Amino acid sequence: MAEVPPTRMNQQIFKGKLKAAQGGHKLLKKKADALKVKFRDYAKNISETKSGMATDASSAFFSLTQAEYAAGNFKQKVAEGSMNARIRVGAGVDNVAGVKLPVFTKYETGAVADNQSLGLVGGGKKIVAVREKFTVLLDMLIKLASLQTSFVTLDEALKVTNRRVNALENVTIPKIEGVLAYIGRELDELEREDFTRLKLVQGKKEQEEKEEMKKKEASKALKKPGKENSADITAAFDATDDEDVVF
Amino acid sequence: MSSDATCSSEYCNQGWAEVLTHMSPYGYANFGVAFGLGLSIVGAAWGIWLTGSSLVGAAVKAPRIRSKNLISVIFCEATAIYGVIMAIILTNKIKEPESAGYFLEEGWDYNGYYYAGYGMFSAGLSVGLTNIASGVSVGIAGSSCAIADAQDASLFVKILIVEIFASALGIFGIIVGIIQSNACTFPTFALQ
Amino acid sequence: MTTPKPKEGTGDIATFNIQHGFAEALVRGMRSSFLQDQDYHHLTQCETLDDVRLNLTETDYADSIADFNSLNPTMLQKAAVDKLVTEFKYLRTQTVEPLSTFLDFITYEYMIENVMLLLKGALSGRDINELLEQCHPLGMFKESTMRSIPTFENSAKGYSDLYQTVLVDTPVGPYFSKFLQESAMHRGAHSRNVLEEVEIEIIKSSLIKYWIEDFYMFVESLGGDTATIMGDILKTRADTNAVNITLNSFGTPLNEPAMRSSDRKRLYPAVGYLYPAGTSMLADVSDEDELGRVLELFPSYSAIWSIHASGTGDKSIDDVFYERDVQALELAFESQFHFGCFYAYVKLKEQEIRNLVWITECILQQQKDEIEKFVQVFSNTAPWRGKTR
Repeated sequence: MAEVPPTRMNQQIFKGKLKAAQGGHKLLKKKADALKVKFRDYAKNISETKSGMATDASSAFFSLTQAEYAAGNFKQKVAEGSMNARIRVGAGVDNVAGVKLPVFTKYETGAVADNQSLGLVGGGKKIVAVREKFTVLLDMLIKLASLQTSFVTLDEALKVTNRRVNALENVTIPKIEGVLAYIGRELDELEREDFTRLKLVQGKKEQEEKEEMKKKEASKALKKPGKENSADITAAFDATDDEDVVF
Repeated sequence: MSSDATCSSEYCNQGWAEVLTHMSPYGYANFGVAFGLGLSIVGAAWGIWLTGSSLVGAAVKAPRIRSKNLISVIFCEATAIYGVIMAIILTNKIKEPESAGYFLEEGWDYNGYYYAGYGMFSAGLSVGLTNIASGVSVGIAGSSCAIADAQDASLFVKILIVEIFASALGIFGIIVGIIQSNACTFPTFALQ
Repeated sequence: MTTPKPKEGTGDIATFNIQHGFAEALVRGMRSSFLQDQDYHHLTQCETLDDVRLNLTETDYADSIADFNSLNPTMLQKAAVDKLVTEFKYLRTQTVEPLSTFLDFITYEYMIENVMLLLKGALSGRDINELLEQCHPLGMFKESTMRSIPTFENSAKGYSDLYQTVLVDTPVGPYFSKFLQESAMHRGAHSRNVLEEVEIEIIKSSLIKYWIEDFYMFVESLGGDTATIMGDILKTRADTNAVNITLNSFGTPLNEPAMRSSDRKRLYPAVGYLYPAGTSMLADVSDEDELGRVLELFPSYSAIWSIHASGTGDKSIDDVFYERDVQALELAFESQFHFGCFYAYVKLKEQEIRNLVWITECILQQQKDEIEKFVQVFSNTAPWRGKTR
């Protein structure tokens, strides 16, 4: 702070800075608010999806139990089957107030459905039900993953923005303001010093003038002495006036 | 068995009828003993076999049945005992002639003689056959009894009653056998 | 078909026990190890799996689960299956012909599954030890043979070698060769192609079909009560398979008109109450309505079908079939001096294991309202027993 030379020029510069900082603060605040709204939105969405998933997941896994009851243990058969994924997850990007959020989308690879005749001699219908339920669950899972990742990214972005807002609000702006105040103060001080100096100079000049006058009068009095004494000398005498005379 | 085709001498037997009618009543009586005892024991053994295999098998998982179900084995054993009793009774009735000789004496009671032989043979056969039936029957019931008892202890007494009835079959045999053999007394000397 | 006729029969009421009395009594002794009504009642009241474990220590499973600190359905299933296999092996060592062949027949079903697992695993290049671990312990045959199945090279020649050298020696080899022969006749394909092109479930169903037919012939040749009781069980099994195959083929390539009469029809066993009139009608069925119309002609199946068709969701057709199976298998224990109870024991134990897994899964997944939906074995309250107690 102290390094800043308190000049008018600097005052102007800092005034500009303050304006920019305030503008930035306002903008960032807006962004933070926008992010916060989105954040809340996502949080709500996640909690909804999660609570929905709790029932869906339990019903999906329960249907697996039911299918295993009906068709025996078919996990190995699924595991031994062809391992070509029928569903893949693609990543996209969503832009919220300048923050890039990942979005996962499901797409079908078009691979041939495998193990269609699973549970042929019993439990086939149950296995079909399991397949359906788990497809729904997979959809939800992808949605949740997408939301969750976005949520984390958003959280990070929100933190950064908030930090910036706070930094502007609590550090940068006060600092600039401080500098401005300092500059103002210094300038005022300088002004006051000048004023005093001018006053002194003026006083001096006045005294000199007086003395000049006195001398003139004295010389006049010398010329007309009685008159001069009639003028109130003691009244004109001021002790303090003398003190300032430093020769 | 046509006699003329194979044998025409007078020493030849004229078919089975002649063989059977010419058998000695002593022979018949002793065969009666043999069949009575033998068949009874076959019945008993069969029954024990049926019961025993099931009993040990069921006792693997339910050891508590093993001593209780020995009663089924004892029921089977009873048929053997009936056979033994009958055999003893019959054996006691077989008496040799007082005067042993190459021929039977003059005035020998042939009716009583043959009656005794056939009667004892039939008595032995009655006891033997009924005891086979009884033994197998008790065996099957005993086998089921062991299995049922292993499953549910309250069934034991119920099936035991069935076993008792099966066992009673042998008693009918022995009663009839004894009555049959009652009148059978071998003449030991010639009638005067 | 493939198994030689037994040299002697099972024996009748008076002679059965000579050879098989001990083994039969054993299996009947083991019957007492089934969970009772009150056991099921206690199990279904459990809140946690620890409670289940505690309750099971009161039952015949006490020894199997004694070493467990905690319990989960998979562990319980494994322990229970191991127990069943131990008992079965014990039984098998106590038996003589023809009962031993009969018991071997029971294991063939699992062998078929294992061989299919090994073959398919070999095709996708799995580790043999990993595969062996997944095999059903009841269907194990000589380990060297099992190990050699996946070692064959992945080529047409390798597979024909496999059939000629390894599978022929296994008890289920004849079923394979029959299947391959028929496939070759049918589509002129090599064994490799068949293996890669035909779905594992379809091959398995074909083999199971041959197995049922073979098993049926075998019990018929045994005669007596065994033929009557086991014949009935196998016939219903064959019918169940036929109906299930038809029902489950809807929506799969197997239901395409070209496949119906060629491929699907060949999966129907040539035994059973539905054979031959019913199965030939089933071959033309293309959807559930038509299937319902065919089954209506058979009184015992129309009742089952109506439960399925009413679609209340309370009971699926699988449950109804299970229920009927359990009923038929329980009947096998109602008469003595036949082999049916051995098969029934294994199958009922399987049902019990299924029930246990069901109960534990329900408790684990907090699905208390579903917990009663299993088919109890030897229950006094079963619908077919009327009202006792």
